[in-house]
Amino acid sequence: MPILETRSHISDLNQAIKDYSEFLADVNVWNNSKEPFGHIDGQTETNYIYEFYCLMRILKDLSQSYKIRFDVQENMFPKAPANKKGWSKFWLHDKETNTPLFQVCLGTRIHTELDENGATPDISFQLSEASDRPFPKDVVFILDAKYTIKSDQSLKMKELRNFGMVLIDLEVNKVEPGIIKFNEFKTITLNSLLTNCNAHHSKKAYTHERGFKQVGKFDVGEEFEVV
Amino acid sequence: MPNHFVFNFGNHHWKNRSNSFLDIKISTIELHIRRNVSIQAGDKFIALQNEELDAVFTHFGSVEKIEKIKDDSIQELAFVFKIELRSEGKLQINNQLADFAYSLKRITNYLSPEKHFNRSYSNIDEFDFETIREGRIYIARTAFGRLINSMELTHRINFIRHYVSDDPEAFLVKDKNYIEAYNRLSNYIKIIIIQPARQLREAFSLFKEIVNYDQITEQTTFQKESENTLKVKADTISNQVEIVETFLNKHDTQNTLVSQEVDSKIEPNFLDYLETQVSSLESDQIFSNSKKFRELDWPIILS
Repeated sequence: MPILETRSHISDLNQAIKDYSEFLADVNVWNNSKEPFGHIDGQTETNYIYEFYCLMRILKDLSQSYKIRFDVQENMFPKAPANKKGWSKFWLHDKETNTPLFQVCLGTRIHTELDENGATPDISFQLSEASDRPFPKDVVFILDAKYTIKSDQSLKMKELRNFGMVLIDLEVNKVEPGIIKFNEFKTITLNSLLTNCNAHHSKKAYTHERGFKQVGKFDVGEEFEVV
Repeated sequence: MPNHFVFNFGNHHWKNRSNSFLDIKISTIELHIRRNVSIQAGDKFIALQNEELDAVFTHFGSVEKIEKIKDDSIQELAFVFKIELRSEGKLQINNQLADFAYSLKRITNYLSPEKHFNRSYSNIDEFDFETIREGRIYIARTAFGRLINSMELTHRINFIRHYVSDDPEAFLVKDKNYIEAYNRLSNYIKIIIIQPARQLREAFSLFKEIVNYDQITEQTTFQKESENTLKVKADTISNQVEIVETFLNKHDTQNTLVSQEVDSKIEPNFLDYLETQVSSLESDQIFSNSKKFRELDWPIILS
């Protein structure tokens, strides 16, 4: 016969739940706006923490090949897709000559001839001379970040196809492999879809043909895998 | 069959209590009230009293005798009853009303459960009576309710959206399973809040290495795009990282409860520890075996 838990154990558990709830109440909202903190899927601004995380890991890696300069603007970083003007970005400079080579932007809208709203890749590498109103000719390489609650599953065909379309719209589906010089991430030779879930292995040929790779398990405490 | 009541002795309708009230076997008190009362000799009661700022269940017992000593329908407080109470025991552990927010069928105001007992006396059923008398707390429902209601409304709605889309029947069916509900909520918190919290902490640390200029990094914010910049509230990343640090320390470190009982090889975080507890507590089965309890609404505040 199992022994009924003592009342003091239940009392301790109850107190521990109460304490934990208070910490959760603090962390589940942003400190100033009181907007929800975390990944609320289904809304446009949901992915921005993961995008920021991906960008920082990418930049850290690129800091071995380039000199990185933070171009701080009044608006800092966007929670949702935004126009380029007024938002902070990074510059990649040649380490020796200090020549600016690329701009790296977070959540910046790229306008296209056919659609004023164009597309908003999560991380875009743009030519150094790109203006504050970028078009496909200004974009050389893109990375998209996909955070999903079902982290044990694989990227869906729909997501792969969708990213392939964005590359066509932004005319970056045929980038020169290795245009961006990564180090630890040197297998990221093409535009890439970064995700916390698994890469879809059987679609490797499909994605390469369409000009991109998948980077699975790109998350804190995980081993990433470039497919 | 006796009726069961909570007598709220903090209510001003109770007057003239005898010395050592309830600490001796038989005490007397008067109830000055507008209406006739349904209390009878033999009924069971739980005493609710205010101790400092908390409402506390202090004693249980039975009504020995009740006598109408005034019946004057002209006055506002027309009736006066003199009641003799037999004290049958003191309630000492798990006796705060707030602790029972998710363990009494009667309670639907989870944030202010005392509102259900504001009146001089309230009827409860025998099940709730025993719950208080035994100091039983339904841990699975308490864990589920406290955690979900400590989150912002958007999260609460988002959680429900996931639940309904993954398993509509489990969410919409009358018979609720709080072990499953807790596990789902725990998973939601881990993926939707805790993992992004780890990402933000890690990203901010990399950002500081890359930019290497504290005056800028400490003030860097996230914000929404808006025509009217004055309206936009920007969120400073460094401030949030501090909150995240405090939270993750709490979440990741084994608390004393955990270390006593769990195999030392695994170091579960608090949510996982609670998951093992919730799914194995014998004392919860009294609640989960009760059909009436299973058919209560989900204790989720939707306002």
